[in-house]
Amino acid sequence: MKRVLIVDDSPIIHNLLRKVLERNGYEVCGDAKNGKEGVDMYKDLNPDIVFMDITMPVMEGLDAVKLIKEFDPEAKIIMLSAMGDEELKEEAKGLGVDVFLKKPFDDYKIVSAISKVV
Amino acid sequence: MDDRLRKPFMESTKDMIMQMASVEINEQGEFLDQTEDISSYGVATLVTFVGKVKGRLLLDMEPEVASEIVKQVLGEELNDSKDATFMGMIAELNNIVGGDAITRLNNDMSFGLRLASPAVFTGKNVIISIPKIQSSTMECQTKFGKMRINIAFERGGEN
Amino acid sequence: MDVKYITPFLDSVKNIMEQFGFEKVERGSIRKKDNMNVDMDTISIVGLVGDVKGNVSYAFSEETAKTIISKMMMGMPVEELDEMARSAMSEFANMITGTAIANLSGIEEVNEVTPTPPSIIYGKEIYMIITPMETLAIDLETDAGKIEVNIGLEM
Repeated sequence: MKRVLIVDDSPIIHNLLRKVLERNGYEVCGDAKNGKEGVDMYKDLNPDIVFMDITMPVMEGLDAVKLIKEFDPEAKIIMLSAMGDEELKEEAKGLGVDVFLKKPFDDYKIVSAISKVV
Repeated sequence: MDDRLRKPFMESTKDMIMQMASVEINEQGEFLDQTEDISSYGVATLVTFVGKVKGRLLLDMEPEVASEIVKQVLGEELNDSKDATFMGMIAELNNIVGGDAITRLNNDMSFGLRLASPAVFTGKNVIISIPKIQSSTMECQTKFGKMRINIAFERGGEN
Repeated sequence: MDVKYITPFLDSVKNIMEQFGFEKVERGSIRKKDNMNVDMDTISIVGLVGDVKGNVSYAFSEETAKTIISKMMMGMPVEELDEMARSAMSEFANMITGTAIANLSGIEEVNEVTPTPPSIIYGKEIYMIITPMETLAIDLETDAGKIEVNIGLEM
């Protein structure tokens, strides 16, 4: 079973995304509430896939992506943000982000994003 | 107010709420200048944003509309609008609507906008006032009750 | 949340209250807010983006609001919170925010922070959430009555 790390500052998003992932056969191995926790948990848990928000306290998503990619260039990261203008998408792509999703999401959106990265 | 500023908010509100909760929102007439304080329908959520311009999106709805959205998104009935999960969900809804709308504005008009955290309020006889800012309201109807979208820009959105 | 981020918001209330001739602004304990009930009739809320992100709100009872507004309007009696009084309340919120932002910029890690437009909420039995993260509540005891400052910031 593929293991997923969720990085988002909203408990509601954790809750909703966990439901979608679990009913589609994925295991949520960690819930991080900011970018820094996300980086630390990535190193500890070595997940197969990361869902990463952008606007978060302490450390925002794009900075966390940079650190995770430095640690593991093969990391599979899917951005999942309420924001998604071209500038942000370009920046994420430049950091090696595989897929950029804009909230809201449903099962189809999540499952097809995962199938693109693994 | 320039339609290029307020229309994206209307479209995002309709699109996001349809995608998230399958609730259809029907505009009643046109955007009107909001000259008085707003007397809330019951559940109000606001999110502010800043970039080359500053502004605020307010979604104000009857508790039944909020309940339906919460039910559709979370898959459970929470009819107490004072419940933390209920309120958190409505705040997140506004974060997503606001995020979508300012994404459109950033792409079309290069405003470089960023969102602050959404806030949500519920109570008795709630009045919302936004000092000294031009704002514009669209009254809407859904199958579950009334909703209004109020969008405010400092200096009417001039840089 | 580091206390150094809280002080600017409390100091700004003190500064502005003193400018209007209030003498007592005493700080009570800081508590983590679990219940979102605001036992107050008037809430001013201000958003911030940049190195500090989130919302800060200032809540008063109707009586406290009237006392403050009356002082702002050179002692004119304020019978009810009509549009004119509400507009004065907004001005008060703007002043507090402006001062708080100036105070915040004194913190080393804060290079850039921008306030977003304030909104004022009036009502009874108000419940609110101002951040997805934890909210801290600090009571200020003043000679106009209690002011509850809620801080929901992420940094």
